[in-house]
Amino acid sequence: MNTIEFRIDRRSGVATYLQIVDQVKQALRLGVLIEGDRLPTAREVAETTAVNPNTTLKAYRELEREGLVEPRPGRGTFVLHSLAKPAGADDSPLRAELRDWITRAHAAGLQREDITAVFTSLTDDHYGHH
Amino acid sequence: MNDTWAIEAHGLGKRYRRGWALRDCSFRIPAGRICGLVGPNGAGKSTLLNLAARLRRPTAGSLRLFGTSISDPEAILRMAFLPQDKPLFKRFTVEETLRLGRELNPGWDQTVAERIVGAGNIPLHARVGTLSGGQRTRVAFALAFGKRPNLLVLDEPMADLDPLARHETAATLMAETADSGTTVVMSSHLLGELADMCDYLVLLCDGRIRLAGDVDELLPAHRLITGTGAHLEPHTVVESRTTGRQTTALIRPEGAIAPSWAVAEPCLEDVLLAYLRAPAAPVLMTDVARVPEPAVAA
Amino acid sequence: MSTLVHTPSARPPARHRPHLSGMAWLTWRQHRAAYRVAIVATLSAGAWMLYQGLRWRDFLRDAPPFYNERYSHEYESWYEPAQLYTGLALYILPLLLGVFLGAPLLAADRDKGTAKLVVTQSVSRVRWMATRLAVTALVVVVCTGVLSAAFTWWWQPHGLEVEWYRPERFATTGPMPVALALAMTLLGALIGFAIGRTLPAMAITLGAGVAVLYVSTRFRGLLGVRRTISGPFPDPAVRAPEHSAHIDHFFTTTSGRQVSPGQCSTNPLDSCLADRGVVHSSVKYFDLAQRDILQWTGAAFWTAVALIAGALTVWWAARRSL
Repeated sequence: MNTIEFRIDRRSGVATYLQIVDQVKQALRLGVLIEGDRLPTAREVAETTAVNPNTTLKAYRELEREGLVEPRPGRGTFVLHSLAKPAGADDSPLRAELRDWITRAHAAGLQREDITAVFTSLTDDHYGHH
Repeated sequence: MNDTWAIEAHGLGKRYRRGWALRDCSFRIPAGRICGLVGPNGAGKSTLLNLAARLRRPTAGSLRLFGTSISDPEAILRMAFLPQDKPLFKRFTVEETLRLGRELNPGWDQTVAERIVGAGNIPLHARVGTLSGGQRTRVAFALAFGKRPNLLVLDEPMADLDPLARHETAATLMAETADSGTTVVMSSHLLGELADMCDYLVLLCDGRIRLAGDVDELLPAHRLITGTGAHLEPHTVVESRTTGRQTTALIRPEGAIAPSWAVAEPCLEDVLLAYLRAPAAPVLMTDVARVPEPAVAA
Repeated sequence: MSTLVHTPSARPPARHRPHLSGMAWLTWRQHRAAYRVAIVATLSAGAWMLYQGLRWRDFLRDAPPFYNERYSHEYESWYEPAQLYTGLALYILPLLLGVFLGAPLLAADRDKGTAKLVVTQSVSRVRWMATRLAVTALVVVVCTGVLSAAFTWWWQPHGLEVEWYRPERFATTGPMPVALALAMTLLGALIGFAIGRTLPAMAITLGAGVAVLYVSTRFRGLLGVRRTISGPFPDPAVRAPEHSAHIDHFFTTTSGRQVSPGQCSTNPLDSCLADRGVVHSSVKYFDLAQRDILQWTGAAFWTAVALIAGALTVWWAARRSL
């Protein structure tokens, strides 16, 4: 069974291998992928997305370099660590606070784009530009 | 036998009655790459692929597949070729078409061939002439991969397919390559789709190589800059356009780019289109693609 | 050249029959429609001639040794035209094989691009071409051999020696039809391979085949040396034996001057020639005993033409762009 299916956006301008890296990380954060899961093989990815298998392998090497996954010869590539943070889970207080804030921002007349802009600007200030 | 280089061309040329279709081409493609061969119509793409498939003979220079010169009939054993019109015997059934592959190729892999046909739900007893374009392409792929080639050469494999068949064909090609490690060289006009499939690129214009190398090296070598400045020196300019006061250019930076320019990383399509529009742009070959000068005799 | 291959396919062959493999299988599969037509037509025509041969033998056994209106009528209304038209059919058979089997054999492959498909598999081009020509040549030799043998056998008891030198009899018995068919088929194949388009190749092969028939008919006199009989004139003994062919008379005077019979318009010929001083006559001819040597020499020539055309095709196939 496949644990994750990648969606490649050809218009995004983001390199295909980075899209795969990002989608794996996203899945790790959201708990879609957990420790011990096998990532789809380069062949399986190619069958659904027609992406060059070397690109998939390059993405997996990047994830391996970051210590997130591990190749096991002859068996596939497996997840080493989940990135799911309890603090970011559905029922965490931090999430509830942000939901609260968004409700207030909406009431104050901010649109979706305004909220995203504020959020991006503040996270950039805090963590530095990507 | 040499497993490092799937293709090595040195001084390769082909002249027809109307003139040179391919001239003084020296480049190489490492084994395991999926290489896109791009160029305008009449640039010599088909000629190059036909030379590799031993369907035509070069007028000048040498061409080697895995170290074996194409003047040696053995060179055909390690490669499979899919011409643009994907010729198959229309009266043969699918099964007979696979049998053709089995009878004529000592290394034939029936399992691979049947898997590719089966994935398209094509009945083995159907006559090839009754199949759709996409199905025929699938059968041609089965024949090509069943040979278990080290090098698969495809001439415009998706040119005549509808979008769905095109995606399926691309997916089959990529999936089968994943298992076999086959080197693929395909010519195509579909720049967008090449970007996902190819990790290596050869661009031909007027029978000459304009660009060759790993996509990962070719792309970072270019910058898309926009600004009001007029001074593009000392950078190598591939293409520049000026609209009113604004200049947009695709350059190969030589040193730091002046801060007055807005700089962006081009995507593969940007780079290819720029080179296609500017046939006089300076040639770029990465170290991997360049054939060492004291060339091996043909 | 090809060996039996155990196929990995799970399904066993439904019927047991000679199992072709490799290039031989592909050749048969690719051209099986044409081969089947040739074989079925040969078997039908062969069986029909066999039946006619038996009837002919009965007819000869039952026919009275003297003139009989019923038998005479049957001979003239059936056996004579049957022999003529069967002979004519066999005469143009090599032409048909050249046009309908030889010309499309390789032309269609280039026309449809399937030549590219086959030569990029793992068989060498020499083997690719040699197998196709060899299988086709085998079919042609077997078919025309059977038909020639059947036709020869039909008229064996009586009729074959009569006017054996006539074009449609000389070229339709013994080894001649086999060699002519082989030559025209392989010439057709070469033309088809050169042109690469089926219909023009068939048209040109038709022309080439007519030329072959013309040459083989026109110059068959060169295949052997005519015998000569000469003696004083007039002597009724100086004449060609029965069933001789290609007869020429020469008349000379005491001074050695030749007199052509055309110079004599008055009758009777003999007295006219004597008036002009003819004292010596000689006759040149092929006699029936020379038929075999003429036919085998002719067959050898056309087989050589076939082999050269075939070798040229194979040689070219190994080198040319496809």
